[in-house]
Amino acid sequence: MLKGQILNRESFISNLSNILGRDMPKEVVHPEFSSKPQLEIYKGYTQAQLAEEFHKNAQVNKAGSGGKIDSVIIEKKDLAKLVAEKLAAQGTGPIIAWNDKRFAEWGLNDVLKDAYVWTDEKGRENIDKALNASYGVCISDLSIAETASYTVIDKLGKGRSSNFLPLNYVCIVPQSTIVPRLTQGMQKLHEMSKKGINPAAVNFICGSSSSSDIELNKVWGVHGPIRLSYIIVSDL
Amino acid sequence: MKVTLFTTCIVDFMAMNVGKATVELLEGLGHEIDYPKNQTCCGQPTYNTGYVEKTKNTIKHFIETFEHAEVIVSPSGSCVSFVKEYPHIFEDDKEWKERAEKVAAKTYELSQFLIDVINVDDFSAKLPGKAVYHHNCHTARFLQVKEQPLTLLSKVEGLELVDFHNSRKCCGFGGTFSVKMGEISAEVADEKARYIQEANPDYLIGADFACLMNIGGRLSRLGSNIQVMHLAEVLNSK
Amino acid sequence: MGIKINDQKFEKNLEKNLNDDFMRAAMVKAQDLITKNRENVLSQLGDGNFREWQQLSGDIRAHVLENLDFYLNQFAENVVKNGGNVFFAKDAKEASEYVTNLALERGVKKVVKAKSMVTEEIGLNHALMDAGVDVKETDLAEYILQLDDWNPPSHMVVPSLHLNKTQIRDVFAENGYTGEDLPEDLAAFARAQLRNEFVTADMGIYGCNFAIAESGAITLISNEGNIDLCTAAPELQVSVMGMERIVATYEDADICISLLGRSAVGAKNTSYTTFVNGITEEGAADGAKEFHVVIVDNGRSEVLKSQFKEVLQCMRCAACLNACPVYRQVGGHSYNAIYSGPLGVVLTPLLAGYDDFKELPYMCSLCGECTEVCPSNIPLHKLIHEHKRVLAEEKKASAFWGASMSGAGMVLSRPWMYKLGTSMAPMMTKPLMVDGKIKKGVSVLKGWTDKRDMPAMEKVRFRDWYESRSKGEKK
Repeated sequence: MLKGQILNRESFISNLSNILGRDMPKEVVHPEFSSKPQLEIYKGYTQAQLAEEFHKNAQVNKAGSGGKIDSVIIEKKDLAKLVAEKLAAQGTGPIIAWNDKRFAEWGLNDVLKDAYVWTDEKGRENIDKALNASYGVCISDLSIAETASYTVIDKLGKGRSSNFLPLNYVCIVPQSTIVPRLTQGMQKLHEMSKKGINPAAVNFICGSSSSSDIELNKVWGVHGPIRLSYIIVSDL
Repeated sequence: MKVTLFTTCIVDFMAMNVGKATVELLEGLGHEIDYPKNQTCCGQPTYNTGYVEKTKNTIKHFIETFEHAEVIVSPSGSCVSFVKEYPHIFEDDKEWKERAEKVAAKTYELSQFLIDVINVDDFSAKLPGKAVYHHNCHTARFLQVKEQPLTLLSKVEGLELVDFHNSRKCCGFGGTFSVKMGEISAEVADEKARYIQEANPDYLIGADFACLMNIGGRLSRLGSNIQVMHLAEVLNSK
Repeated sequence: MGIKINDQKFEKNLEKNLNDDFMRAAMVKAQDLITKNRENVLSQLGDGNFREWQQLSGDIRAHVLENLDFYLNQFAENVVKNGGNVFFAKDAKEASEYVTNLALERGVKKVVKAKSMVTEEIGLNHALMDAGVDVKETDLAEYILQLDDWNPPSHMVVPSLHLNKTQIRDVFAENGYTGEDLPEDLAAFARAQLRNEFVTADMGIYGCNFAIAESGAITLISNEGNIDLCTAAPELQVSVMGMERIVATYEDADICISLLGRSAVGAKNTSYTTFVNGITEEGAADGAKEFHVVIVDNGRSEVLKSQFKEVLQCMRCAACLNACPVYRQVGGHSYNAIYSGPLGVVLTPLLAGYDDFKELPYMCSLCGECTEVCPSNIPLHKLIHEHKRVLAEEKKASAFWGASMSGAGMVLSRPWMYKLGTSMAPMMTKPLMVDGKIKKGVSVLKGWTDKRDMPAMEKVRFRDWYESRSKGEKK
C-alpha cells in the first residue's frame, strides 16, 4: 500500500508560478469577501426553531420524493417506540446499526437486539451484511436545517458502505446537532482541520438515492437507500 | 430638451416607420429632435462577428457624429448596449476611451429615456386588442431594462398584455448569427413564433426592430396574421 | 475517447442532430424543467439575491486561480498527510497511463467508476479496457451509455439526455433485461446489476467537484449515491481532477456547493455531498487502503496564461447548457466534443485547438443568458466573442467573412458610402422579392430566407422622410 508519494510536483508547480509571473508565495492571505449572505440564513434561531425548519424542509423533500422521505419530532421517551415502528414500516428484515453506546443509553437495546452491529474486526462480513440489510440505523453527527440533511463523520464502528447499501434508512437527529446550513458544517470541518483532524469521509445526506437520467423521470433508490426516515429528538 | 436621435441603420433602411414614430412621440412631448445626417451604424455587425479592429473606425465615426449631443436616444436597446461597450473597446486608447465614456453615459434606449430620464409613462395611446411583448436580450440583460416597456404598455388604452412561454428567451437573431448559422437561428425563431402563436395575440410588440424582423419573418412565413409592432409605434397609436 | 467525440464534419453532425426529433424535444423539456426549478430554488436561497452569491462564488474561484501554485501545493501536502498519493499529470496521456499502470501493478481486474468529465477528457475508460481491465460506469446515465457501445454523453449533468426510454430498454434487453420501458423498472435493473459490482471491484475511480486545499479533501456531489459507493467499498481508490478544481477552504466550498446543485439541476441540495480525506482509519473494515489523486493540466495552464483564464472558474454545473438557445436546438453532440453548450464553445477550442472546432464560436447568438446564470460568474458570452475575434483577426479563419467585414467596416465609417449603399438596397434586392417581401435569398441571405421572410428594403428611408419633412417645415 503506497503512501505519501508526490510525483512531478516541482515541474508542475513551477510552471504555474512562471505563468503567474512570480515565485510561489510562502503564505497567501485569504481575502475577506465583502458579502456573507450565507451567514444570514436562519440567523439567531433557537435549537427548537432550527428543529422546526429541519422538519419543514424534510416535509418539502418528502413531497418532492413522493413520500420516500419522512420526518417526525419527538421526545426521547418515545424514541424506542418510534424506531421500532420505522424498522417495521416496510416489513421486517435484516437491520444493520453502528457500534454506538448511545443506542443503549437511549433505551434502544431491545429494539436493536437482532440488528447486526458494524464490527470492523470482522472485515468483509460487515459489507455483506450491509448489502443485504433492509434497514440501516444511524445517529446524525451534524444536522442541516436548510436542506434537512444528516451527516456521518466517519470513524471506526460506523462503516462506510453501511450508509449506502441498506434499502431503508432510519436516522436519529438529536435536536442539539442541528445547525442552520452547510456553512456551519463547513466551519466545523474547518476547525477540525486546523487541529489536524481530517476524517476519512464526511457524508452529508439529505435524501434517498435518486436519478433523473431516463427522460428526466425522477426514480428512487438507484444505488443507495430508497427510503429515509428522520426521527428528530427535541430533548437530545 | 434637445434629443439627438440615433435611429440605427436597420430602422433607417428597413423600418422607417419605427423612426418616424419615435420622432413623433418625442416631438409630441415638446422635445426638439436633432438628427445627425451622417449617422450610420453602431458597429455591432462587424464587432460581434469578431472583427474588432475593422469596427473601430465605425465607432469613432459614431462618437464624432454624436458627441455634441445633450442626450442620445435610440429605439434599439441592443445598439444602445453596444454603445455602452465602447469604452471597453478603447481600453488601451486614452483619448478615445474618454470620448467613448462621455457618449456612452448619455445614450439611452427609448423606454429607458421615457421612464428613467423624463418620467413620462402615459401617452394617451390607444390600441385595442391582445398583445405579447418580446424582451430583447441586450435590452433586458445588458441594459437591465425590463420593466420600463411593460409599464409603458400597461398605460395603452384597450391593450391587453399577456405573457407567453419563455418570453424572456432569445429569438435567435444575433446579428450575423442569423445568416452565418442561419439554420439554427431559424429553428430558434420557429420555436419563438410557435409560443407566440399559442398565446393567440393580435400584436407582437418589441422594443428592438431586429428581433421583430426575425420573429416577424418566421410568423410571416407561417402565414400568421399577428401584427408586428415596435413599442414606439404602439405608443404613437391614437 | 478524449475531447473530440466523432470525426464527422460539423455540418453533417448538425444536420443529423437537427433531424433528431426525440433528442430535440428532450433538450427543450430538460431546459424548461431545470430552468423552472433552478429559478425557484435560487429565489429561496437567502433573500434570493443570486447576483450576490454569483459574485462571491466567482471571487472565491478567481482568488484560487491567482494563487493556483500555492493552493495546489498545499492541497498535495495535505493529501499526503491524509495517507494519500498525488500525481501531477501534464497531459491526458500521462494521466491515463498513471492510472492504468497503477491498476496493472496492483492486479486490478475490475474498476467501478463514477461519472467525471475529466476522465472522459483523458480517455481513461478506453485506456483501462485496452489494458484488459474491466470498467463499470456506475452513474445510471453513464451505465446506459456504456452498454450502448460507449455512446458519447450529450449533457454534462444528464449525459444520456438524447436517448429515450425505449432505446434504453432495447440496450438493456441486450444485457438480459426482460421488462418494459418504464423508468422505475429500468433503474431497478441497473441497481440490481451494479450493487454487486461496487462491493467486488478492486478499484474505485471518481472525479472531484472541489478539492479543498486546507485539508486535502475531495468533494463529491451526487444524487444517486454511486460515487459514495465507489469511495466506500474498494480498497484502492483514485480521484482524477482538473488542476483548477480547487478551493482554499471548506468555508469557500460552502458557497460553491450552495450554488452547484441549485444551478445544475434546480435542487436545493443533491442527495449526497461527500468529503473524502485520503485513506480510511487504521483497522476499518471498508474505505480506501490506498488512495491517489491525479491532478491534470492537459492544456489548462495555457488557458491560465491567456485572456480566457476566467473559464477555469467553471464548476461544470451545466447551467449555461440549460440556458443556451442554441444548445436547446442542436443538442450536445453538435458540439462534437464532450464539453458542449456555451462552456464547450469556450473550453473545447482552448483544450483541443481551433482546427477541428472553428465553427463552435459562431454557435452563439450573444444573448448573454449563459453569463446571467453562471454560478462561477464567468463572462461566457464575452469569452465566446473573444474566440471570434481570435479567429477573425489572428487566425484569419474565413477569407469570405474577412472581406465582407472589411467592406462593411468601410461603408459604415463613411457616411457617403453608407447612404449610397442603402439607397441602392431596394433595387439590389428586387430580384429576391415575392409579394413585397424577400423570400428567396441567395448566398448568406439564404440561411435566413429558407424559413423566414425578410421585409423589403425601404424605398423611402427614414433619413429621406426626415429630410423631406424638415424641408417642408422650413417652407
